[in-house]
This record gives sequence, structure tokens and C-alpha cells, in this order.
Amino acid sequence: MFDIELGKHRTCDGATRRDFLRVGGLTALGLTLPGLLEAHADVAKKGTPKRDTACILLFMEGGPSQIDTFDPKPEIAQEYRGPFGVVPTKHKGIYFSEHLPKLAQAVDKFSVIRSVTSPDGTHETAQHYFLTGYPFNPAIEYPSYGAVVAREKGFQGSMPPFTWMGNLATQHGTAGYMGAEYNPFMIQGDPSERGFSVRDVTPPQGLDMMRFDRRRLLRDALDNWQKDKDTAHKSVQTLDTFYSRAYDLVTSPSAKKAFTLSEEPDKLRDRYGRNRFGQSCLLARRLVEAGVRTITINYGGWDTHENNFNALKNGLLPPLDKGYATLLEDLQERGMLDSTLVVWMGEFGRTPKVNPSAGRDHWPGAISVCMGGGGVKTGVIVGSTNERSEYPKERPIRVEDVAATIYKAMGVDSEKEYMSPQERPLKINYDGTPIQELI
Amino acid sequence: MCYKPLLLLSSLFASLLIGSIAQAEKPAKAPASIPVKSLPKPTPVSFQRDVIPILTRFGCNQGSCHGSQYGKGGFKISLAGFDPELDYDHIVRQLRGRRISTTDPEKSLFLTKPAMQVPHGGGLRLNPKSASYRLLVRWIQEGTPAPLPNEAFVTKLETTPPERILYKNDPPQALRVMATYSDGTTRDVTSLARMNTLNDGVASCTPEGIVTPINRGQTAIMVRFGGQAAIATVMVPFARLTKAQLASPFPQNPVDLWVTRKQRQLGLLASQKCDDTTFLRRTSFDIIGTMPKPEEIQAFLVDRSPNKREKWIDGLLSRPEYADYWTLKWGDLLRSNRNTLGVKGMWSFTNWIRAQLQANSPVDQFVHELILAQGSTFTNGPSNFYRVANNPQDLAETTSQVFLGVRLQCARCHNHPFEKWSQKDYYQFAAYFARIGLKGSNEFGIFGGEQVVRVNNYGEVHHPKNGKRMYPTALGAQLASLPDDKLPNPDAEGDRRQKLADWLVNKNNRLFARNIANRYWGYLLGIGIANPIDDMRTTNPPTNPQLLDHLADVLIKNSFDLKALVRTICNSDTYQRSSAATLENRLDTRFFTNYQPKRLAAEVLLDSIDYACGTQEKFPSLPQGTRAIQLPDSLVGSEFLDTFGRPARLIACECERTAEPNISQTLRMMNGELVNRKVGQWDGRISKMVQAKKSDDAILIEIYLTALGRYPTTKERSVVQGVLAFSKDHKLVFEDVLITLINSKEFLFNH
Repeated sequence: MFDIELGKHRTCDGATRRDFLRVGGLTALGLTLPGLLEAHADVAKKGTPKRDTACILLFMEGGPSQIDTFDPKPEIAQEYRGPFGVVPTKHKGIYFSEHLPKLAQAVDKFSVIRSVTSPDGTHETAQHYFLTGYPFNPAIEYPSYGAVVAREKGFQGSMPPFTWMGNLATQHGTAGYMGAEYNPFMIQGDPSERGFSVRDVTPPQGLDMMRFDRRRLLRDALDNWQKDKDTAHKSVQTLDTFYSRAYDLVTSPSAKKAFTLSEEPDKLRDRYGRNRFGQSCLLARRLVEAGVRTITINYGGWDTHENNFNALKNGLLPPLDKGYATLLEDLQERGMLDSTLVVWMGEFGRTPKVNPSAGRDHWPGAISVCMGGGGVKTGVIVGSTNERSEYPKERPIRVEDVAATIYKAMGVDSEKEYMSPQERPLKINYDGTPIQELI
Repeated sequence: MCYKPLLLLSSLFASLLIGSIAQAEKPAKAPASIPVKSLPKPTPVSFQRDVIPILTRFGCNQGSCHGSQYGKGGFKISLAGFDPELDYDHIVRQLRGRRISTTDPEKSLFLTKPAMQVPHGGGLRLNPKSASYRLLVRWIQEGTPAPLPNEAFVTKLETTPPERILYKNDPPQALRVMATYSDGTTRDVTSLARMNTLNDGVASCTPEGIVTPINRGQTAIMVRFGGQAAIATVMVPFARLTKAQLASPFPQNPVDLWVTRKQRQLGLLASQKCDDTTFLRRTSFDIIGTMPKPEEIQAFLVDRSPNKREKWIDGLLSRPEYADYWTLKWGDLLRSNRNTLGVKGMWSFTNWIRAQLQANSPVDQFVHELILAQGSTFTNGPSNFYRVANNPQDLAETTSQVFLGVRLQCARCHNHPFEKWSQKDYYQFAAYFARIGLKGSNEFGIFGGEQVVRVNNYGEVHHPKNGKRMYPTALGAQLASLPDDKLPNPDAEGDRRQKLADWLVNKNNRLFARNIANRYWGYLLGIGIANPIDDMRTTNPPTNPQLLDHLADVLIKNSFDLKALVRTICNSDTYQRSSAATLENRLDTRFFTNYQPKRLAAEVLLDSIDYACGTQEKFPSLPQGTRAIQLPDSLVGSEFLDTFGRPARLIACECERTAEPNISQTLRMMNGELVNRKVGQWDGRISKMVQAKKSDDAILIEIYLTALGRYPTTKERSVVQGVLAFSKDHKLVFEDVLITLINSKEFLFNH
């Protein structure tokens, strides 16, 4: 959308951008923009530098059934088992739902924890629990993993470190008490739609680069209030940081490239699935390549109190199977799986017994969570549930432990304390132990 | 009174210890020079008075150990010992009594674990040679006496000294803690109380209460014992002021007097007062949420009268926008919104709030009327208070947080972890709302959604743990310990809320006046005297209690006139300080030496963009010309306002409105459709000025006056002239200048 090569742009005034930058009034005043020209020039550079471990969190808002996904119970009565069959995996005696055939094939690229258990069966509070690792507390909103990682590790290149796709319907999953500075950068809209673009990361429609640069130069020349770093207020300085980040983002060719999904070959786009979830997974991979540290994809619709099986079979499971499995394969093919943790979770499981509306209700007693990559072992099945998948039979895992495992993989010290606005010291992770089988 | 000689000795020893942080208590060796007088016969060991404090002191019952929700290692006791019955049961009876060995007390698991004679996940906590250990042994020897029903409880804690200035390299200061019990006895509990600093960047504090100054600032040392909390204030001055600086006269105005006194204690000097244009913009935003007009600025600058700032403030207070702006604030606080109230209810509530502010109703009457409201939510605005929060718990939390600045939420599930509020306090307060009912009405049709608030003749609140019926009680009030049937009938005079309303706004209820004063100070100065402004508690003390008390007195003396409070604050030199910090006071963010810039609230920001651009945002279903600060709730669609942190009005916390910048906002301001459309709009300010063929200079001046409220400087003029000289289309240059100013920090902040 905008040309970054210098000297080519004819402006509406008839001058070229190069002319403008050289003589355009501002340079005459001794004002220059360090970084601007370099940013524009680095388009030619190729190759990805070494990056830190990233995390893609696939969040199944609403609570997916464990029995109908990763913990089927083919031997039990139909009223519990439901109508779905199973597919075998490479592991002896380990089956997945028949509607997850690709994931069954890809079982060596992720691990399944079948024995997560929680006391919380209410959406809002359980979502808080799973997205932060802390049980819900009405007095304080805890930060989500991506926000903590952003605070601990900062920016990696010009991309926002914490990005979110899909709705933030629950109001949880943000930076909580840490403040807006660490909130996720929201990517709204459906990446599978024609004409999808990420908002506000390109100059406004109809504005040529000459004017965009002119504004930037003007801001540098005119925004002089509280410029002295020694005495400027912190809140004011933060804003300067955001402006320089925003300029980096808008002018960075690699950021722009990351958001341009259409660059992907059609074949690969088809493999991910031409739907919102699939294309979000593909976009997430591009964002990881560009330096984003944590991406949450919120994939809602799992609150299947009624009509559970049709909803899963015809709506939710096929995109999940395609998108998630392709993401894992694609990451591995590119040699990125070792440095990219992919996590799959919802806020709880669902009742083993099918209800009269052919639905399943909330059930936090036994929950399946998947994770792998980024140093977390793949191809491992942790724990098991009892006959009807009501409770863990062995190796009960708490949400705190899942959180501790994520932080461990991301290189975050779980024991570190932050001060809440109420001046209460709070650990990054409370009381969790990384899951030994996966580390 | 000396309660136990052993404890007294160990506390003496503790205060001799300087700077060492003991993980486990040191052996209680009395220095030989301290004479021990004849020992009175030891009093029997009491579970509440002696055992629980030891569990608290050594962290056994803290949230991360056995006090956690699930306990630790199979052993659970109550957080900070708030439930002695449960603790006793779990220590003495659980596991069939395996934790206690009466035959050989020192073999009790209860002792061998913390003494690390058997493996203990929490490590060594209790030294077998310590006084505490010996006391526990004695408790077991005496047959593990159970908690007594009428045991005296702690009513007050006092620290000596209560306030202390320590320069950076001063030697440490020992704190002493005295507890007063409900039977009138006092006891030195220095060795038993838990003490820690609220800001270890300012001063550290050992478990024994030895305070060492670290770095400039003010902190409180939090002291907890027996369910009570108290603080000691420690100030570490920023610098040593000269004699001349200390000798200069204090200001006359009491607000400035108290502020200056605190600043001098801390070795701080205030910045200059701000210039006239900054003053105009600051006060206009703070009092009416509106930019001053160019003609007002021009007139003010040429006015030579000495009291022109005072007159200007009075002028603002009588402007119609005053009610718009403060309706927005109170609408947030009282959470007027259509999702909860329906469109009709929301309008009725918002309009009632607006009417109160238009008439400048005294805030005590305003709140009194709210608390006693009943009737239709559609026709009687204040009754919506009972629909926003519609059960005794939510009403208790809302009432205490909004009107008293007390956050009770924690006490809903457990005693507040570091406050004096217990679950009992919580449910007794909630009991005032036990009889409020909502009833559907068909007045507006069966789907009209009207609700009627009424007072039922039934309904009680019960304690969730013991099921006891709770007697409606004001926060902090001590109930005479009468048996239930001796208490007067709370409903004898009808509506039990009457007592609550009367108590709440009574001028003797300092919580109320201090809360309003602190909130308003926070709104105007950007940071509260106690901060966060709606979280007043012992452990979040005001930085300047005398200042807060003075403002509360101003409010009371002026019969709760809110405009008088605003006038008092805005006319102070403290409010009128420049936001430019000096090298000496730049590190101060809490003592008001310089004005803390505040990002414009979302609505004010949008209005200001419109004003600078000469445009007018159209909001859905509202008449053309409605400004953002006039919106009745936050559900009038506006992506811009949502992006910039207007609150959804779902929770009664000031924190719901966010003014913290984030990168999405920055991108929205730079590249977003709304701002870019407005700066170049065909009938906007720049188009009109260009069409009217105004001179470049006149256009630039108007842009500066309407965007920033000041004239451009020579340098700014030459920058713009430089760009104009190289550009054919001057209109586009001015648009770029305007959007640049709108994106400038000076625009985005009220400073």
C-alpha cells in the first residue's frame, strides 16, 4: 500500500519525497529523524534473526467437551459416550474423537494432559482462572500470560509483544492490575474474509507517504511539551514511547508483511482451512515470525448445553482439527516448533452424561488441555481420568500447574513478585509446579 | 501491663536486634543486665491470645502456607487466624489428634514440623529454644485449652513512634507495638505482631520492627495483630532544606499550609504557579470538561485584576456544562446504564443525577435520598440505585465503596486479609438492605420493564459460616454484646435503611466527608491524598492526613456544598502549581509539589477534537449537537470512546475508567478514520478559514488557541512557516499541523 523506496514518490505538490526530506523546511531547521530512513531502507534485508520462545494460545471459550475431543471413552454407555466414534493415534491405546483425525495423525507434535481439574464451573470466573493461572477474585484482576511475558521480556522488533485475535468477550485475559500498557493488541475482524486488514497499522486511506512523514517530522518539531527527560512525568513519557512504537509498527516493512495474509500461498491457506479459526492460526504463525511473543486466539462457541454433537461435528471440530493440526505441521516444517509453544484449552470440560437436549453442561472435574513445542515435550499423554471422565484417575493437574508450565517454557520466573495497585505483592504464578512429564 | 514476663523479655531482646532479619525466632536469652523481678504465677495459656499470634507471627497461617484455601500438606488453618474454632479443631482433633501428643508434648507433630525435627515443606519456622516454642509446649502441657467464648479481643493497636522522619543514613529506629483489649488491658505485642513496610523502597522493616531508611519518600509500616491493623509513618526526606528555606513563612491558605508543611518535612520545594493560559485550560477541563474559547483566553490575558483567577473559577462553576460534566462523573460512580436499568430507567436515573448537580444539592442530601429511595425505577430516578445493585451484598459493597471509600469485597468470603473488616462487619452492614425488594410492574406494559423498589416486611441477612442472623450495624460501630433477643428491633420504626442513611451522611461520620473530599481532590489534582481514591483503609493511609481532614471540614462547614469544595481546592496555590517539575522535586508524585498531568477522559478528548476541528460528532439516537460529555450512559455507541477507556459502568470502582495510554489508542489517533476525517472535514475549522481567505498566521493562531488553548511560540511559527514555504497546498499543511497538535502530549493531557 505504500512505497518505501526513496525518491520515487511524486507528491501532490509536485516535489519528490527525497526533495522534501532534504529541503522541506524542517531539515533546514536542523531537524532529522533518526531511524526513519533506516526503517524504510531495511526492506531489502532478509532472513529471520534468532527469536525467543513464543506462545500461541488457542482458547476455546465456552468450555469444550473432553470426551468429544481428546479423552473419548469408547467403552462406556452411549448416554455418556455420545454418538461419536474414535480414531487411533500412534500411541497404543490412546484414541481421539473421530472428528479429530488430523490431530490424531499429528499426535507427536503436541502433548495432551487429560487430568486437569478445577473447582470452578462458571464461565467468567473459570476463564479468569485459565487465562491467568489465578482463581477468580472479585477484588483483583490478574494479568494474563501474554501480558506478563510482555512485561518481563518487552518488545522483540517492532511488533506488539502481546496480540489477541477474536473477541475479548469475557473481559479477562488482559493485563489486569498491571495496567493498560501491557494489554493485548487486538486484531479485530475475520482474517478469512476478503479484504481483511489489521486496523490502524497503515497510514489512513488516501494519505500518501509524503504527508505521513511530514506529520512525523512536524510532531518531532512541535511536540515539545515535557520533552526534557529529566523532569518529564512518567505518564507523559510513556506516551512518547507509544508513539515511537506506533511509528515503528506503521513504517516497519516486516510488521506490514506479517499482517498481509494474502502473501501466503493458496495451498497453505487451504490446508489451514478457509475459516476464521484456520486463518487466525496462519496469521498467528506469521506474527510469531515477526516477533510477537504471545498470541491468543479466542475461538468461541463451545458452550453446547444443547445439540452438542451436531454443533461439534458440523461446526466446531473440523476447523479446529484442520487449523490446529496444520499449525503444528507448518511450525515443524519451518523449524519453528522448538521455539513456539502451542497451548489448547477452554475454561472447563463438559458433563460426561448427555443431557435430554443432547447437550453437555459445565464440568470442571476433568478437563483436557494440550500443549507442546517451545521446549515443552510433544507426544506425551499426561494423566488419565476415571471410567466416565468425571475426575482424574492419576496425576491430577491444577490450573496453577498449567500456568507454571507456560511460564517455565517462556522463560519467566514464576516466583517473581509484582506490586498490585493496592500495594499488595503478588507472585507471577501462585503455587503452581511445572508439569514434570512435559519439561 | 506486663502480661507475661517471658514475652516481655523476648521483646526487649528483639528491640536490641538491629538490622538482622531472623527467619526463625532467636533464642530468648535475656541480657544479664536486665533485672528480672519476682515472677508472678504464670497465667494459663490462651489459645486466642497466645497460640494464634504465634501462628500468625511465623507465617504459618498466611495465604501461601497453611492459611491458603486448600491448606498445605494436608494441614489447613484459617487465614491470619480469623477462625479460632476451626484452627483448634484442625490442630487438636483432626487426624484423630495425631498432631498433638499430650503424653510427650515435644513429640507433637504440631511442634516437630515447624522445628524441622521431621521434614517440613515450610522449612524451619520455630526454634526449639525460643520463647514461642516453649509457650506452645506449655499450652500442650496444660491440656490444649480450647478457645474461650468470652475471651477478650484486641480493639486497638498503637505504634511508638507513630510518625518519624529518618534521613537516609540515620541509624535504624525500633518500633514498639501496644495492643489494647476489649477488657481494657494493654499488652506489649512487639514480639508477636507482624510488621512489614508498605514500600520497601523507602524504608525496610524487620519482623522485629527495626526500621531502616532506604530512600526518599514516605511509607507506612503496617502492623497486624489479633485481627487489627495499624500503621507507623516513616518519612525519608528528599533533601535537607536550608535554614532559610525552613524559616520562610508558611502560606495563609490552610490547604497550602498543610501541603507545605508535609513538603518541608520531606525536604521538598514546590514548583512555580502555572501561567494564565495553562490555568484557563486546566480549570476549564477540570470544572466543566470543556476547552476555553479563544475570546475568553484573550480577555483573561488582558485582565489586570488581582483576583481574576478567583473570578474565573466562580464563572466556571455557574456554567451549564458544570452539570453535564459532573453528571458524567457521578453517572460512572452510580453506574447508570441501560443494560441494567433499561433505557427508561437509565434516563430517569441520569436525569435525576443531573438535576442534583444543576441545583447543586448538598451531597449529604443527595446521598440520603439515594439510600432511602423507593418506588418506580422509571419515574423516581434514585430508586435505580436499588436496581444497579440488587441484593444486600452488592448494595453493601457499592454503598461502602462509593460513599465511604471502603472496599469491603474481600470480607464477603473471608475476613479482610490486611484490614480490620471481618465477615461479620460485612454481613451486618449488608443487613441494612435485607428487606429491599424489586417487583415488576405493568405500568408501561407487560414488557415495559418497569420495576418498583419497595421495603418488604420480611428478609434477613445471615452469616455464611455460622448461619447467624445479622443485626444491621454501621461499619466500625461496636455492638453492645447483648444476646440476640435483647437487641432492639431494627424495624421498629419501619424502614431500617433510615438509620443507615442518617449515619452515613452525618457530619460526625468522618469516613463520608473524607471520602468525598479525597475523591474530589483526586479528580482535580490527578492523585488522591489517599490513592487509589476509593480505597481508604488503614493500610492505604492518606499521605497527608491533616490536609484530608481540613478538606473534610471545608465540606462539612459549607453544608456539603460540592461547588464550595471545588472552589476551595482550585483557588489553592497547590492546585495551581505548574506541571513542570524541577530537578529537585521531579521524583515527587505524591506530595503535590508539581501538578500531575492527567490524560483527558475519553469524552472530554472527543469533544476537544471536535472543538479543535470545528466539527460535531453525531451519536446514535441523540439529537445533533449532543456532546460526548452529555451522553447519558456508556452504551451510546462510540468505538472511539471505548478505545479511550470510558467505563462500562459495571463495577463501582474508579479504576473502571482508564486513562492509561496504550498502543491501540496511539494508532487510532494517528491513523484512525475519525480523527483523519475530522481534521479535513469540508465544513470544519480549517476548510472554513481557508475559504474565508484568512492569513496563514491567523489560521495558525486559531489552530493553536482552539487545540492547545495558547498562542504559538516564535519557534513553532517558524517551523510551520518553513513547511508552508515549500508547499503549494497550504490547507493540507494546516491539516497536518492540526492532526500533529491533536496527537501531541500537550493536547492529550490536562496539565
